[in-house]
Amino acid sequence: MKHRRHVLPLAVVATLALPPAGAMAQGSSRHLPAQGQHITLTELDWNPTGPDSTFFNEVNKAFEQQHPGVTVQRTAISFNADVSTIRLRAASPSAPCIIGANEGWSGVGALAKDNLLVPLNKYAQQYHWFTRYPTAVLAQQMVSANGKELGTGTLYEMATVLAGPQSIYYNKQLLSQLHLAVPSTLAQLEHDMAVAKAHGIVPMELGLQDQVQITVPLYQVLDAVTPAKQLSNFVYGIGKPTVASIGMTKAAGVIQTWAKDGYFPKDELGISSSQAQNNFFAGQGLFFPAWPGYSGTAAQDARTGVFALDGPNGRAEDQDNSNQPLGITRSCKYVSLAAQYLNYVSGPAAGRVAVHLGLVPQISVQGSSAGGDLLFRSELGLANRVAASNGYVPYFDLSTLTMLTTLERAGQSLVAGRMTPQAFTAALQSDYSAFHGS
Amino acid sequence: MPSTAPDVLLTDAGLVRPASVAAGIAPGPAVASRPRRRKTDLWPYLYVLPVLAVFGVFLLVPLVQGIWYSFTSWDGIGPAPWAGLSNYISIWTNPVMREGLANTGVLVLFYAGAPIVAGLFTAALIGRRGMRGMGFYRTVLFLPQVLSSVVVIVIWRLLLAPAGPVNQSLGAMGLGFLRADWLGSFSITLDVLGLIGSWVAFGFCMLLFLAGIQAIPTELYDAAKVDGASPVREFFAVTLPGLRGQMAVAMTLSVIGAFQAFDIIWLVTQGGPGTSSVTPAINLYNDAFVSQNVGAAAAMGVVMLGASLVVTLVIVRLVEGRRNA
Repeated sequence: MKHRRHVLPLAVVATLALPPAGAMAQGSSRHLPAQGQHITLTELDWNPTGPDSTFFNEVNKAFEQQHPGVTVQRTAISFNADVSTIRLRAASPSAPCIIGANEGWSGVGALAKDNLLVPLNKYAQQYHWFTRYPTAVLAQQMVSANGKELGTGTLYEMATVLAGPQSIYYNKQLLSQLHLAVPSTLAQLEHDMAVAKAHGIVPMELGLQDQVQITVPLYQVLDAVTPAKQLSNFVYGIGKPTVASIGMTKAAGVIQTWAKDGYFPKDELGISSSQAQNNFFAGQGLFFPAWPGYSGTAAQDARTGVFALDGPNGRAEDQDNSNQPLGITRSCKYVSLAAQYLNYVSGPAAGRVAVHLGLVPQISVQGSSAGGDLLFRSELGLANRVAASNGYVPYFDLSTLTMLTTLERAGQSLVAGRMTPQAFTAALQSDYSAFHGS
Repeated sequence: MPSTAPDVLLTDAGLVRPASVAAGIAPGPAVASRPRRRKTDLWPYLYVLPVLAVFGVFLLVPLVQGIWYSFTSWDGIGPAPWAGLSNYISIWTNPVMREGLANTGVLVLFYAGAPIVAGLFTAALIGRRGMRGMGFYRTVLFLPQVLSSVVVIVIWRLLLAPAGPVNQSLGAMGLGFLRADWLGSFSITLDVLGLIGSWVAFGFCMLLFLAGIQAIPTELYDAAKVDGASPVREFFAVTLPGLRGQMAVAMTLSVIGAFQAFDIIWLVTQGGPGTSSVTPAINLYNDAFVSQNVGAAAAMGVVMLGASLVVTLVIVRLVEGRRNA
């Protein structure tokens, strides 16, 4: 998701002037540039616009300054273009050295299976990546030796410092007017929405014309009813889990009840997610389920807060992945240098750049300030809370190649009342079984 | 095309090609006086060789490759295991695939039927000679054809939003009961998307028919008038028969457009709500880029190609058959 924050150029420049953490770490390698040699390190990511793009431009510039003779040649394409072409790009003899593939079977799973990425365990040990990041985040970049399980085995991509936890935004003014507290449990959320509905306020702004937004409320409910470990095992294909066994029918039932009770706007299937966002920031709805980085004007941000529902055991648990994981392709000639780049783009210096650009980092960033943007401070607080409890859960739809499409289509039928929660679960199970075989 | 009887067109200058006569062009050189062809005249082939090379490399080779992959379970990288007819069988057994094919039938009505009927009507109205402002009407009505799909979609999404101008206008006119969730309804969204397609294709059909009307000899209209034909009778007796060729072109292109419908639908609903507006092209895209099953996508492509060829042949047969009758 794209972030739109106020950029603080001076702060960024000051940040870049700070000494790099872990730069040019531990000795040299045959893949490092010799004295006077000029190297072009090619890099591909899916952030062509916005602060995320600025982040990469700034970080690449800083990396070049610390590595004389190295030029980072960046290519940025859209996320959809990346997902649909990443395997062909990685298989090319002229593939970029550093490449961004999505988590899950369509990205890192497929590339690892096709032997297109360099294993990173050696560098993870060298640069202490496993202690830098929550294991729940790095597990999403791991693939088993037989290529049949995710979340375990070899690390094939490194999470960059950009985080992407799902959450629910709320309108502080409306919440205050209704004398409600920020919910942290499913029961509290449902109570708040019932009160809003009774006062003629749209409880939750939702736009499903472009399908994808159904995932956020559904995953929030799923997180609230099912422990993180159980959800992770399901996504990674560990054991013999079923969709029903992770509480999907219950979660789907909750969503359908919300739709029937009028907690979503009328004609939600004909509203796009961006229109729902506009409606929320215009003050029309109490809650808005989304990824981080949704914001409006400064005034709108000031009346907006963010939260995520706790897990069933009261722990802070949330579906999240790195907003831009990066791996090294087999055709890369400068593997050690590329690993240094991954270390830099996932490290504290990059984290400070992210914070100053208004982007939520995966790691706790010392020596930085979120400034006066209360919404961003709220997002940072949520991210730190989930990271502290190692409560990150991989997105449910990473469980198969086609789960997102299946879920989005079935989700529209569920909300429209054309499919029962049981049928919804059966549709997802059919997709899961077809992919994992059972 | 079979050749016409040469003795009909025999002139003092010798045998003249019928097309030249029909077009009013001065008689060409007599066939009888042409120099004899050399036995091995390779020059014509050399002239077309570059085009043939491009055609072969960029069309024939991928076509053959696509057909080959349709019998495999190739995932886009590496080897392509033989899969026999399984990809083709799954097109008929997979309910989403079948729904896509059924939706194509609906789209044919909107992409081909509606624009042709509307295009004929409009062309007949504004195609009469001497009509003032014809250039303006022609430009305005053709405009949707030159707009990019994204622009078209932005316009229609705004118009058809639940709180958009269409529903607001209906409410203001006391027709609130007609308000609908135009782009989020399981029952009408496909039809609405079809209408958007009609709006886009209409300009092309109209322009084609306008050009055809200009080519109909004025004597025929004069004769119809002398015989006391009304404008409606004139349309059915002169205009419509004179546009048979243009109708064949319009039908062929618009039916193929319906088979290949993707961009408008993808940009608005991605085949939703649910699977109510999926098309073969959307299924093909999902097979290739989501499921990473390029073999299945190729099979769908081959089926679409075959269907397009059959439709084209049928239309050409119908038109040519009537023309020869």
